Amino acid sequence: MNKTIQLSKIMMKMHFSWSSKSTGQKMNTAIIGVLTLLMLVIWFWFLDSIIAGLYTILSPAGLSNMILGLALLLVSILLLFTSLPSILTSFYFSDDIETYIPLPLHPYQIILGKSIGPLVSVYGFTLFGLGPVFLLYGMYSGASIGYYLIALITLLLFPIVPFILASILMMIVMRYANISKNKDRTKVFAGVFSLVFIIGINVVIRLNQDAGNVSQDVGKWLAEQEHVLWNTTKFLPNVFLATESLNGQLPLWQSLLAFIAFILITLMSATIFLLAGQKLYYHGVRGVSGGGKSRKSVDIHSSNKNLTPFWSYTRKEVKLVFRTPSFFINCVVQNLFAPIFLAIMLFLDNGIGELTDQIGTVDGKYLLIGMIGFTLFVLGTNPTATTAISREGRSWFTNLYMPVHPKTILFSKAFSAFLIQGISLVILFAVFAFVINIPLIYIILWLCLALGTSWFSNLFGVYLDAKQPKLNWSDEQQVFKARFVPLQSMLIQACGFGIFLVIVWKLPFTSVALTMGLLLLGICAAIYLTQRLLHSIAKNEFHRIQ
Amino acid sequence: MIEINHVTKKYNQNKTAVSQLDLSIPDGKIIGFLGPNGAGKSTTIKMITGILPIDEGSITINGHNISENPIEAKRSFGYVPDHPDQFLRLKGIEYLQFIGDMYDVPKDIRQETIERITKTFGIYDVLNDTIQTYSHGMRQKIVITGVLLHDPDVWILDEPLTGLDPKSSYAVKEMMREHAAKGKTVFFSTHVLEVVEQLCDEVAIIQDGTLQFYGTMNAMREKYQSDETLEHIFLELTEHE
Repeated sequence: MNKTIQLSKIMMKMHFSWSSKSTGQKMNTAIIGVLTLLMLVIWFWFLDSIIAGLYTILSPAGLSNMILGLALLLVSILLLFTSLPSILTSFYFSDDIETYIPLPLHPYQIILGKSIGPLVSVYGFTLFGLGPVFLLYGMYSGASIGYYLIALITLLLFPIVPFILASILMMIVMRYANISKNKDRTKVFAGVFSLVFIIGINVVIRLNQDAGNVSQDVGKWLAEQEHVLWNTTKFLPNVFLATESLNGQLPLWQSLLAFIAFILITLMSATIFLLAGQKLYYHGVRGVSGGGKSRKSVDIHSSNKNLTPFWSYTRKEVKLVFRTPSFFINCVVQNLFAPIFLAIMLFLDNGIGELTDQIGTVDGKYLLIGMIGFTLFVLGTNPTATTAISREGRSWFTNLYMPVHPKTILFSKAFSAFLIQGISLVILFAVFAFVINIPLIYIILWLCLALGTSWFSNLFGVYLDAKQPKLNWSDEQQVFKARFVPLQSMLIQACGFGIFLVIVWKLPFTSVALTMGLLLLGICAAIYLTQRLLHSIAKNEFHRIQ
Repeated sequence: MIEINHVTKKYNQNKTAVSQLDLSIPDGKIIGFLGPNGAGKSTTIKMITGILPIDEGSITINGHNISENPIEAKRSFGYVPDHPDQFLRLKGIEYLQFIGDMYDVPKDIRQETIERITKTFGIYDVLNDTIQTYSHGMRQKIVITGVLLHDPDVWILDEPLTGLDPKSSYAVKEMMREHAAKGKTVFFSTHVLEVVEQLCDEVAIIQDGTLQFYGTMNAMREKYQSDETLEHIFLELTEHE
């Protein structure tokens, strides 16, 4: 037990140590913390309107506990799926795995320590998802102090079962499927699966976006579906038991009995988790680092093409993004997220016809500004450029001894990000041209502006990353976690460009040509300025990037 | 030729990693760079190769100042770092083609050199695999192949023989000898004193960031009036470590 605690402590230190973080990084983490708190306030306010509505509808029928049941069920499912990639990375693919396997420890001890990283995010989700629901439900039902006490313990214990289910699922998959040969593909699959799931959840929410409507519709639906909900929770008994233990309408002894059963189920699943870890973990993890070998022999002749340093470097960058699972998911898959989401929203709303009709009546000026504004948002959220330097990690020094001009390296990085962002531009193009049926002339104008905007956005992203790179990472995922640069880039672009777009919008003219001219001028000026900034980094600060 | 003049490097203002280092490494020789752990070897090599900026002094490689004329200086040397763990998700052949592009190696020379050297090292058959799947020694070999591909005048190697099998180690040592015999420069750091004794024309010993000795093996024996092995002299020179 002592060894397990020691090991867990060391792993926790390795995962969350502040000592290697610069003051700037610590500041960024603090700012992200404050922003998260702000988001929590907005989330709380949003949930309040839903729960208030649901409570009013369900309470007279004595079904208000279904609010808790539904919240617990949704959070359970969300935890189950979203924790899969982090479990996979932490248990099987993190770089330090080979350091722990040779130690004289039982597999269950290692897996317990390895659970800490993913568990932190699982608890974060739970706190975010269930905390406000418990609090609001307590407030509306006028619950006693006992309710809050049980709610607190439930909050602490509840995420364990979904996490364990996801872990055991991964252990079984890794034990029996020979995934080590396709290690990278497995990571990509888990990541894409989770993203698709999140899009799915968003789509469901989008169906009833108005908070008032959500509670009305779901309330009615729930009242009709009482049995369905309880039948569903039978598959997740901890959801049923947690709901019953928090149900103030039941006699005290029944609630207490449910609560004890809930604790017992959690303890039992923890035991099963340790037993499964002991039996299955080593079978899956050993050999994972081996990697697959290609059976194809090399053909030097056909691959032998002379490229300029710029093109060769760009090709290398794009290849590395596509081949590294974390980079692929964050830079490429996420790239598709917003445009696909827009397309799905339009399909679901059944408003394409309406929108197409309206587009005919909207002034070209506003149409163009709207399209560019949305494009800017889509491009601004993409982290390809804002991680261009940080992605190199400890290999960054190779850029310092090769006889390549810093300018070539920085601009190749911006250009490769531009190419990758091109994928979302292609999808946006398809949505604008074939889903919304925007007239061809506006599509052409938009395309010119969008290419310029994308180039500016990527130059600016590389500039920001060069100013605050994160090169000391041990797991590729860390490049994207707890970093302020992508958010900073989006905010600065949104503020700078957003204000410019609003000004053009407000100016008293409707000429499309003038709008196009002004937007083009603004984008060219932005490109010129950011190119100058990047040139100055290449000239004066390139060697300080360490 | 590498000229290091009064070079100083400080970390965090008060920790001096290298202090007033003067070293002139001539053409046609193999020079071993020795020193205990943390003596300043890697810092010196990183300054020579342009990875670390120089606080004071100057370094020129074949007449090109690494701070003022970095691109030309970098063209004239090839560098094998101590950790060959770069570009792990590129295939071996892709890495070599990339290096070929960066150093403007003509197509025909590229093809012939890659084939010849990778066959010597026994890694030709795995060139289509990603470097990630290579062992440490194989990664070392692919990096050395990258250096040999652009055939620079000056070789700068940080622990080049670590992880190599005896055959490849022998091949690298032979290549170093051939390179020096052509009147070119080989500068390498190592902890393996037997290799230094076998291979080097001259040795430079650094400790606490300052140069303790630079000269031929015979000059060292004369200076320290010893017939002992290099190991004994080295231990004596750095005994308070």
